[in-house]
Amino acid sequence: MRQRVVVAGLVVVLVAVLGLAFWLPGRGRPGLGGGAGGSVGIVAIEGVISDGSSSGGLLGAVVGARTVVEQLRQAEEDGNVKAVVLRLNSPGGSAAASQEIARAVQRLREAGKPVVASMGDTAASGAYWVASAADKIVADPATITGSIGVIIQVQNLQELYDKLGIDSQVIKSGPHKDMGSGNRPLTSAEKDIFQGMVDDIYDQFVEAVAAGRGLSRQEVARLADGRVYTGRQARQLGLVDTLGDYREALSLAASLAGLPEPPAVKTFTRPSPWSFILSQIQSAPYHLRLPAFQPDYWLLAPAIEPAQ
Amino acid sequence: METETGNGGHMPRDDQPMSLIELVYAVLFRPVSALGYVARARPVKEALVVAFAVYIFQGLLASARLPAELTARLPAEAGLVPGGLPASLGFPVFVTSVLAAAVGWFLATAVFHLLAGFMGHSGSGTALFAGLGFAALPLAFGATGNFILGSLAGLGSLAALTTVAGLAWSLSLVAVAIRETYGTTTGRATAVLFLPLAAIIGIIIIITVTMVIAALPLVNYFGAHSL
Repeated sequence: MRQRVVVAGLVVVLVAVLGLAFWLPGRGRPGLGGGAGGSVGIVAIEGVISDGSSSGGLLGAVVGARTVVEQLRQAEEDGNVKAVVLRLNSPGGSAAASQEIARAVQRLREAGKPVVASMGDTAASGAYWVASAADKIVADPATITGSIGVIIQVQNLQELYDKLGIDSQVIKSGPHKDMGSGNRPLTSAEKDIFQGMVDDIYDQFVEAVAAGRGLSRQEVARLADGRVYTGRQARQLGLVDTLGDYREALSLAASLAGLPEPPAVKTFTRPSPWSFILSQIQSAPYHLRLPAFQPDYWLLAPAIEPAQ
Repeated sequence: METETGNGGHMPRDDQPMSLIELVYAVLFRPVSALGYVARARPVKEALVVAFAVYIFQGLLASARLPAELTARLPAEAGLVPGGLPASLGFPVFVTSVLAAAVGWFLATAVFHLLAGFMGHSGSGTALFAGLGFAALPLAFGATGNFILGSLAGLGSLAALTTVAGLAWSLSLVAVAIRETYGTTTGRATAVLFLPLAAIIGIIIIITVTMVIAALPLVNYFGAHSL
């Protein structure tokens, strides 16, 4: 009898603990999945912007334009989402992918949903392109932003190949079909072609920022020499609206949409457990990340060495 | 009557069959005699019930807590996801946890049985399997203590100690189960228990050192060619 009582007591305690475990995490979490009166949608852009799907990898997170555009579309079509906060922590990435995300942000605004860009550590270059499409930009004072510019990098590996005894044979249909190849240096004509491409994408970038920020093209061009700015400098130059953190960005989005404080939140970007595990490895210093994964047309902030 | 070195060969005539509740109670309060009985009687069905109850309990507890804990630990997303990660994240955690524990039970039985054989002992693998199943019981208490202390403000740092205590209790039961199954000494049973752990630690050290040596040229290269 005593044995039954003891074992039954233990079972009751364990079941009660399980009940508590499932009950406790849900408490005090307002707005998970969105409140009845409307919510603020959260879409994160964290990592190098590229085309295709987002992925977390050992060499750094990649933000896929297809994934982000789909998340923005879901936020646009979700009747309960009244405003969206774009959380940016990205050094930029591919030009076309940044354009696609910026266009999706514009569609959200056209659908009547205010968009607030919230800048974290870094929101530079292609990430700034995306942010400039938002209604408001909120940055931390020490955020690294700006870097409005375009870069194409081509490596000439000819001497290395010579040392290795690699002789590349190229058969091409036109004189510029292998321009940018690592087998040989660029010709002056090819440099001109690349420069023309860089200038054209740069013009598109400047126009997008000018339109998004309500600045003249000349004003943006004056700031757009490729340099990075701190959040506070960017605020003084008109590239950022408000200095503040993520919570303040959330409040701003809520007030723009007429939602009560604190707003209910619906998250459209959800990290997988696998990406969480990899994110621990990705915390490695910047210089451990492989430059070989850069796209050809690069809208990137210069590398920033972490504080020692 | 005994035809094998250990106790796992035959059930003595004076052993009275024990019910599941009696077994659970005995493993908690009279572990040596209880695991001696388990080694002789090989109550595999009861062991399956106890072990899977513990694994399911641990899995459910982990699945309930992980989304919130993961949210708190995410470096960038901590401020980004005020609503927390979705509770549905807990389901794969639950399934993985239970499967991993069950597979670990089978593997531990196999490895300990093999090691005991290498050390010259003989006994029943089925008896050891049942013994290890019952030895999982304290893990439920470790997880419970961890949850309760972890939920109380200011006692979070003590929470891990309860898990360690539960694990230590469980390992001591494993050692007893090995001893009773193979009829060996406590020292030899402990050696059977810890040799695989020592081997795993050694392998981890070797892999870590190898990876660091392999990664050094990459670090040097990218250190010199940062973006």
